Amino acid sequence: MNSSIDLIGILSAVAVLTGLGIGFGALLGVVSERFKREDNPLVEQIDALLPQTQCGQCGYPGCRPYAEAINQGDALNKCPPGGEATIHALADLLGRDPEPLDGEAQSEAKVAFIREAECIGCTKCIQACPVDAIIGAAKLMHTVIEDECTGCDLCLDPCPVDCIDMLPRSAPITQWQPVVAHSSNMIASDRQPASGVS
Amino acid sequence: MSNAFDFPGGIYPPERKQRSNQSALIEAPLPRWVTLPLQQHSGQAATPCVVVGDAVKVGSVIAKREGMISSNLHASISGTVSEVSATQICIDGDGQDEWLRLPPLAWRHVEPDALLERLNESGIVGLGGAGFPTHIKARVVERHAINTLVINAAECEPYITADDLTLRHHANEVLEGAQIIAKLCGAQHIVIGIEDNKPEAIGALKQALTNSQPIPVALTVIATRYPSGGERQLIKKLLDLNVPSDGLPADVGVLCHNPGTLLAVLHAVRNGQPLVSRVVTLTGEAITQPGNRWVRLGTSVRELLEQAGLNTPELHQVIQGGPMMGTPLLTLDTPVTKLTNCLIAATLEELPPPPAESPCIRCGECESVCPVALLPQQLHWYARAQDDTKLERYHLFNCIECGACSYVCPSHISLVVDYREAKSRIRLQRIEAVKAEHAKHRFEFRQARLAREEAEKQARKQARQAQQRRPTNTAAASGEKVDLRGLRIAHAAAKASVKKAEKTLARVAQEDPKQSLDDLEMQLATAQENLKAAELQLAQAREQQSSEESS
Repeated sequence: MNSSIDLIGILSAVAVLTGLGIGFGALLGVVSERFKREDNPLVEQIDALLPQTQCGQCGYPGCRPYAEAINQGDALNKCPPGGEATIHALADLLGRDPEPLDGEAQSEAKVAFIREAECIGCTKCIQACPVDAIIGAAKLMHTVIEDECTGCDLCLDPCPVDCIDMLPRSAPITQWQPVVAHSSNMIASDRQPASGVS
Repeated sequence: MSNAFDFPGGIYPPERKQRSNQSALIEAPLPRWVTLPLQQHSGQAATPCVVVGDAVKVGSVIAKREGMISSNLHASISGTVSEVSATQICIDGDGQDEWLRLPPLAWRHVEPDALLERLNESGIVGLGGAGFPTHIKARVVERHAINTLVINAAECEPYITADDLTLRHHANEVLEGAQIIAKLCGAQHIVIGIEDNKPEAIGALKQALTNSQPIPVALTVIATRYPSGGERQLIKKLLDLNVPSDGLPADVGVLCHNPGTLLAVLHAVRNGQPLVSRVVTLTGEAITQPGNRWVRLGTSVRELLEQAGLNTPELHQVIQGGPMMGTPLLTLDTPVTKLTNCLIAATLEELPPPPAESPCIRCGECESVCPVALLPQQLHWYARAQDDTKLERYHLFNCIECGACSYVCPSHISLVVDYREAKSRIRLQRIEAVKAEHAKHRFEFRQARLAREEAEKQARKQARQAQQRRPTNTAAASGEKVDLRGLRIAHAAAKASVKKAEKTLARVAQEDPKQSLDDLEMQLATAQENLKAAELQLAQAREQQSSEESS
């Protein structure tokens, strides 16, 4: 008597748990199909950390494609405009080891400048600009909208007369950054090595 | 002191106000030339509207406001414009001091709009230090109900006595100016907060209180403690109201004005006199005739100090502003601006350079004096480590840069310098982030446009081929099965994203009409381009499929 009740109890427990498992499994499956996201949220996060110069120095046509490639496992160190800071931010986000930058870091922000007297109006730079920052028309002078230019230098190569220069970006005086030299935080007696020690 | 509440922290530095508050407020000699910077206020610089050689009178507009937060600039002496550059305008004086005044207004009877326009024309900005345009501040009533106007006469920084002397000589006029502002913003109460180390000014105010009409004025004398003149600190102390950390005093129904600003408001309205001069405290051990002067804007600091008996060999440094929050001047060939309230010509013994910095010993002194209840020590570590997320978590941007923490630091760490540097770094990063976001949207728009153009090209090609009865492309068309379902999903998604972009744009435009909507408009355009491309592709695929079926 007792053993049969126990058996029923065990069987019913197994049945209930199995039922719950199947039920929730089905629910999760339906939900994941029904509310499937086309875009990958991790790619969005990676894209947000990239500098959005759209320069293509990483070998991909823009920052978003590089973000997708990083998500697929590509190296983090292919973004010279972002420099070390971007590599560290990406490494933090993805839990990978930061690698040294592949290429030369840019020393300062640049902006393209067309020497307008020499421009022949070929529109090649307009087609190359990833952010539509160059205005002009065929056989008419072109010029760069400074505020929109990301300094990617993609317009330099197509120019047949080499009339484009990369100049340092001029910042308004309100964005001036103080140069503060911090004295080191060492204990005063440690600042100068004792002369007696070899 | 009956209804005084308290803010945390605070320090008691030596006041040294005796040096400049003994002599009466007098006019400084008329300068022979002036240099007027185009940016003497917060917001955008003014745009010059004169050219070299123009004859100007005192009060002629020489630069017009540019954009929303900006302010007009007026000639402060009569003469000829000798230089106009991107940053400043110079005028050579003719010594005549001819004025160009606006017609006087009877403020009790004119419309508020006329008063606002007068403040706008007169180039009045907050003379307490921030230089916020007064006419914009007066228009705060469009967004917030104002209950109380606070007159900030605390003047808590050592040395400075400009507000003290202004009140001693012009108490009635300051209160009349307060009545004008109170009328403009609909305040029902006017409260003056003043520290108890200014007995003469308190006496003058008490006399003036009785005949101030129509709104009653309350005088609250508070104990002297630095920084009780901070806007938030004073509001806490007078009214026991906490201004939210990312808000304005207007959020709690309070507007705060400096006595000097109120006097300038009255002069602009009653006399039609634009802001061309201000009271400046000249003090420090290195001048022989300290005191307060009415100084024309643009007067050279060197000339002003020499007229006050500058002892050049003794001079160590000149500080503009107070010793706590002011900045040392690198050169004396700099003009007095709308924001110069005090010039301290200090000797080496008076304000010695701080001793060399030692490491932080975590004593916690800075925490007990911080008037905003921050953790200066933690901020110090994070600022030096450039840990920006932590800095924001510890509310770096609530810091009012009062310098109390640096003052008490036994290791002589220049904490405020660290905070200022970190703040400007983070501000720059925010600007850069906005720029990157903007570039991203432009890039996406370009991609969408190229996709749309490509789809249009394909459609044209197909139409051409259909006209030519497709002699050759049967093989190409049957080679790949058209993914009609995938295209339909893409089309629906594109439609949804257009709707979403439209909704976001409408919502943001309604919430904050003044915000720039460029990026959102760009996103909407991108979504529309994508939709067009998807539509074209879908139509093309349908046509292809039907032609396949028919063949």
